[in-house]
Amino acid sequence: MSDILLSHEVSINLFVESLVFLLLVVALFHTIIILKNYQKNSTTEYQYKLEKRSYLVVTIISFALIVKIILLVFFTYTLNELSNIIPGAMCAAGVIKANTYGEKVLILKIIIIMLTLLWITLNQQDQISKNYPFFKQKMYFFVAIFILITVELSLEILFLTNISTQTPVLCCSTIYKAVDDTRALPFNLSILQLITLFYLLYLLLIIFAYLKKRVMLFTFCLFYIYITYYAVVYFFSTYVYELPTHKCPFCILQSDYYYIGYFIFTSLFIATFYALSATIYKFANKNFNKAIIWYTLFVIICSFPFIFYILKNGVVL
Amino acid sequence: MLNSKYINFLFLLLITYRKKHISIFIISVIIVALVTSILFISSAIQKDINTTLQSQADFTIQRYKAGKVLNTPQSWIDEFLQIDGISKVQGRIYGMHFYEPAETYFMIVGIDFFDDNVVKTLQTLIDNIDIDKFLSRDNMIIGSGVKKFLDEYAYKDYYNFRPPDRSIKKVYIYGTLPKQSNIVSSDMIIMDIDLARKILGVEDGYVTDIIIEVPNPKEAPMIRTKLTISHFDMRIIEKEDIKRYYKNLFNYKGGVFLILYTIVLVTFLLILYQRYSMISNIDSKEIAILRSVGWKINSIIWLKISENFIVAFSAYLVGVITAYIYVFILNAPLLKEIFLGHNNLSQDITFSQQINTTDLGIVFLLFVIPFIIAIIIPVWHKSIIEPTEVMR
Amino acid sequence: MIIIKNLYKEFSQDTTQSFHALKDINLSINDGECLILNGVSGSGKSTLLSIIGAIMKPTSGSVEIDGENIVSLSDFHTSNYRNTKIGFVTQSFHLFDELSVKDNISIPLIITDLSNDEMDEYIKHAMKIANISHKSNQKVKTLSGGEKQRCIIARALVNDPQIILCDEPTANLDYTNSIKFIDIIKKLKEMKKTLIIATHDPLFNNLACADKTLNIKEGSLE
Repeated sequence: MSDILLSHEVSINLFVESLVFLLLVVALFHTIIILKNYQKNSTTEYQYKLEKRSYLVVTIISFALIVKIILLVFFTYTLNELSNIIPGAMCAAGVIKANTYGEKVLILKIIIIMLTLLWITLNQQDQISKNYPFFKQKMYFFVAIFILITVELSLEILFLTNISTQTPVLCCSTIYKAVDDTRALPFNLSILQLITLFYLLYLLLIIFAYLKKRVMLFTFCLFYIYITYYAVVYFFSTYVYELPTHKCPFCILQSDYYYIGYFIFTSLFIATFYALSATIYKFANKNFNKAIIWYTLFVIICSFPFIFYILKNGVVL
Repeated sequence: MLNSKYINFLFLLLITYRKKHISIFIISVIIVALVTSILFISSAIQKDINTTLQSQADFTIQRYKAGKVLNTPQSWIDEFLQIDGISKVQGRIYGMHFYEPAETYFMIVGIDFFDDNVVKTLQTLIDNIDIDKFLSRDNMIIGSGVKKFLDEYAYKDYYNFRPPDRSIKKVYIYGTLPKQSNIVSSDMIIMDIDLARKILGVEDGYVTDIIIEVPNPKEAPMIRTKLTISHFDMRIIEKEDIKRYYKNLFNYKGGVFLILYTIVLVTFLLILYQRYSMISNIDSKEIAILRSVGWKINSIIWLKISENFIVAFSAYLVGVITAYIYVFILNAPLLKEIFLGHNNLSQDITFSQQINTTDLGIVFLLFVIPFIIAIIIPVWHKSIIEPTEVMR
Repeated sequence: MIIIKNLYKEFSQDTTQSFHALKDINLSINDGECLILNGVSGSGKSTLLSIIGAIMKPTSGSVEIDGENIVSLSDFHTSNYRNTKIGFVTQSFHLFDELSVKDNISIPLIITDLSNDEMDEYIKHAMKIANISHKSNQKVKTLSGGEKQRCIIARALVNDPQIILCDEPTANLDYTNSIKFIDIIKKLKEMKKTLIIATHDPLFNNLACADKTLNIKEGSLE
């Protein structure tokens, strides 16, 4: 355990996460004061002071978002580095699976960034509207995000303190089953069916976004994340690696593959953000078109290695 | 809003009121330079050691009895050759020789000149080495640290070794190892393996240890098992273990430094917080002017954060450049000794020039981000100053 | 048009003592009018101006500018309002002493969407009205009192505001410069700006271009 904690990357990760957490505790403190005392149409000096307090909360959350994005990238880098001192791990995939907390931490980190972005969208609208229409809602929203951040930090500490440097972990070829095991795919789909579904869903999303069908877009957007995970890991990544048995969502983040993983996941993330914000917030209608653009970009980036491989080699893997 | 006018104004304010930030800037540069130097030195040493370890054997076998390392029987070599998957087994002779005049130890390494690989390596280390000439009499090649000590005691052409059998062995100095390899070779003496055996007093039929090469790493665990059950008075050192050991050692040493750094950083952040919490008249006036002409609180907050970010980031850049010069050009006086430990011989080491982007990223995370965190609350306090009091 | 209804401002030093800076102010000012607010120090002139300029919130009452009540607006909107509709001229020279005249004047425009060329045009125009163009690149700390005042005027005018609020503008000026200031006021009146000048300088008594003169005493209008 101490080997892991002493690794520079891990201790720095935890140190910066803790600092950001402390800052968010300050923001929470002010949020609670605001929630207890804010009265919407009052114009007293005290209400004005509460409005000014809210600026601190906004600044802290905006800054925390920037740092959390940097830390997410650094976290994936840390996982890769840890694979050097954990027996059996060849990349981050093995490290993540070293205990039950790993995947939960990673997913939670991504969810928190998404929610914070949605919070900032709400806040921006609140500030430019007259009379702060979403003032209290955004404060409650922040409290919810803060609870998730507390869970995330706890899980991260549990994850990092429970990785053994003695027990070997599995490598991605075992985790993601190098052998063509169709039980790994959802709904017992074959690869061909999965990819067809991937493209079909994309088209559906575009149509829903174009027609501004909020409920359908919201539902399918979340379902699409689930499908794309499998599509990327079990199909598209194999064309990045040019190896049918190499199925791993982490190796595509490495320099050997021109960091294409970052482009894939970032474009999907941004597309999802625009889709979610357009469906949740009535004032964010402009985001429907942005969602269309980013989903298209995502599909192109995913398809590019596959198409390139076919054009170059004339066969599929 | 992030347009050229805004950026111009930002830099204008910074340059005009630079006196406000100068002390913090200087302290920041020192802190960044210190932590970056440590990271640079650590990475450079690690890289050098990793490169050296590349050529390390996959397995090293030593005879181990009652907690002591003894000379290993040469008969084990034939036994190990029988194990499938092993491509090469070789006995090595090396050991420490006590150099009385300076009361220091040298490392004597015996080389088997019948081994082509070894000869090739030696030829890359010493230009124009004539093997026949080297073997024509008792010759040795010495590290630069050894040469320095021998010169001091006027042993310019040869040195008389005193093996355990009380004889005197005169060995001539053929050449010196290149300075670049000082990190491992400074206190090393290379000679023919039989000569080394005589000087170190290793009995016939024994070697210091046995190295084993295993070309296919997937077979390593099985081979390790077979080796383990072959003898019970044996210690196996695997290359991966050494790599992991060094990585953990560096993490430990680095960890100690990081703890010290954290203490320094937290103190600095508290000073920063205090310093920027003091609202001077100039600050109040500045905010009042900006608010009265229509700047939003948000805009002022981000202006102030940007100002501080530029101070922090410039300090980061200057600190990194200073560290680079200190470590790779001036060769890190003082800090070098702390890292390498004051060994018997002076470590006349040059750090190989290379910048690890990870190290730069780590310094950014360890300095710039905490810096901004420390100033957010003071900046907010300033930005919400009511202009009315100042406007009277 | 500015319409002020039932405006109160109370400063609560502590729970037992509070100070009523403004009591039940009711006032309306048409576009292009020049209003002189007469009153001694502490009568509430500055407070009233601060509330009209949205740098202070009243305790109760409303301030309608072109039909919009600015009192309950968020900081985003009040700042916008100040940036586009208000120009402040104060008695103290609230300028960045180490910056040049031009840089000081440009500050209200930095947060707008104007291009650099458009910004330069606006600045030139403002400097011309205030008669400070010849000092454009000089540092403010090297200017005389009158020149500093004109710099403030230029800054107040640069964003082409409809309303100019002047709080004791001649308090720190000598007679000559005060006259020069009044000339500029006349120019602004010709430009159909709404002017509200809070002062107890007798030079403003019986000012020809003034449309209204009101006295304010202990927070109330007489």
